[in-house]
Amino acid sequence: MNIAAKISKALNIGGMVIVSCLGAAVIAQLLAWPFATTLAKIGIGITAGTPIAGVIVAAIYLRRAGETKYFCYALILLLMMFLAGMWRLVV
Amino acid sequence: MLLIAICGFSAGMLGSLIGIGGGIIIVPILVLIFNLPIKSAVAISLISVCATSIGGASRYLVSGQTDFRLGLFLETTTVAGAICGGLIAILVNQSIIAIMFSILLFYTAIAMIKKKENVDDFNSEDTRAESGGLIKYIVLTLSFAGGILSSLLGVGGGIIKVPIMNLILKLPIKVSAATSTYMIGSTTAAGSIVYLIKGVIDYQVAAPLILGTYLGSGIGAKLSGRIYSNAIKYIFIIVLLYSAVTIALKHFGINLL
Repeated sequence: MNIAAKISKALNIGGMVIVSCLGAAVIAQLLAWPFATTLAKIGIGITAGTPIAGVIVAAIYLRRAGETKYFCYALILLLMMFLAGMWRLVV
Repeated sequence: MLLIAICGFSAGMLGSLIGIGGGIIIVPILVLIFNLPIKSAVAISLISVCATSIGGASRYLVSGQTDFRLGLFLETTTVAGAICGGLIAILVNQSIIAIMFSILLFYTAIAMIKKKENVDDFNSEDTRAESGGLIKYIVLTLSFAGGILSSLLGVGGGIIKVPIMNLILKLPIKVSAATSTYMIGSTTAAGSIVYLIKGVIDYQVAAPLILGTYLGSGIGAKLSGRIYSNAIKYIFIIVLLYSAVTIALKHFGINLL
C-alpha cells in the first residue's frame, strides 16, 4: 500500500477546495459581493484543517498497513497538535 | 490584491523549494508594505505556511521525495517543544536566546557549506526514522529544542528541521526540504485554527495571499525536481544567513525587510 500517495491525495483534495473557495472569495472581493468574507473564512478554515486531515489519513493507512509504531507516532502528533491549539487558545 | 498574491506566490515557491514556511519573508512584507498589525500578519503568515505545506507536500509525496514516517516521528517532539517554548517564553530573556540562535544559524550555514552534498537516490519506503540508537535520540532532542526555539523566536521551524535532517541524518537536501515541507503544516495547523477562532485575520489580505502561496508552493515543488541539489543548498544557506541577521537585529529593535 502506497501510504504517501494516500496522504498526497487527501492533501490534493483539500488543496482543490482551498483554490475553489479562495478563488471565489477573491472574485467576490473584486466584485464587492457580500459573501466574500464567508468564502474566505471557509477557504482559510480548510487550509488550517487540511494538514490535520493529512495526519489523520496517515494514521488510518499506517494502521491498516500494520505499521503500529508509526500509527502511534501519528496519534501522539494529533494529541500534541490538540494540546498546542489548546495552549494557544488559553494564552 | 494582485501584489499580495504575487508576494504569496513567491514566498510559497521559495518555501516549498527549500522546505521553510516562508513566514520570515511574509511577516515583514505584510507589516512594512501593507501596514498590517503584527498580530494579524503573524496569523496570516501561519496560515500561509499551512498552504505552502499542502501545495508542496502533495507533490513531494507523490514524487517519493518525502520521508513521511520520519516527519511524523520528529514532529511529535517538535510540537511538544513548541508547547514548552510557550511556557519558557515567560521565564527567560528572549534577546539572549535570539542572539545565541543567530550564532547557531551562522554555524549551521558554515557546516552546510563544508558538507559535501549526498545526491544518492532516496527510496521513500526506506525511512531514516529507523536510524540507530544514539542518533535517533540526538535528533529527537534537537527536534524538541527546535520546537522550543520556533515558539520562542516566532520562526516556522523549517530553518531548524532542514539542517537537522541534512547534517545529522545525512538525508539529501531535496529530501530534507521535502520532508520539512510536509512537517511544517502539522506544526502550524493548530495555531492557525486558534487564530481563526480568535478572529484576528484580515480576510481581504489573507485570501489572495494564501491562494498565491498555495499555487506558488506547487510550482516550487515541481521546480525542485529540475534544480541541482547544490543550488537548493545554497539558496537555503542564503535564507539561513538572512534569518540569522533578521532575528538578531529584530531583538535590537531594527526591522529588515
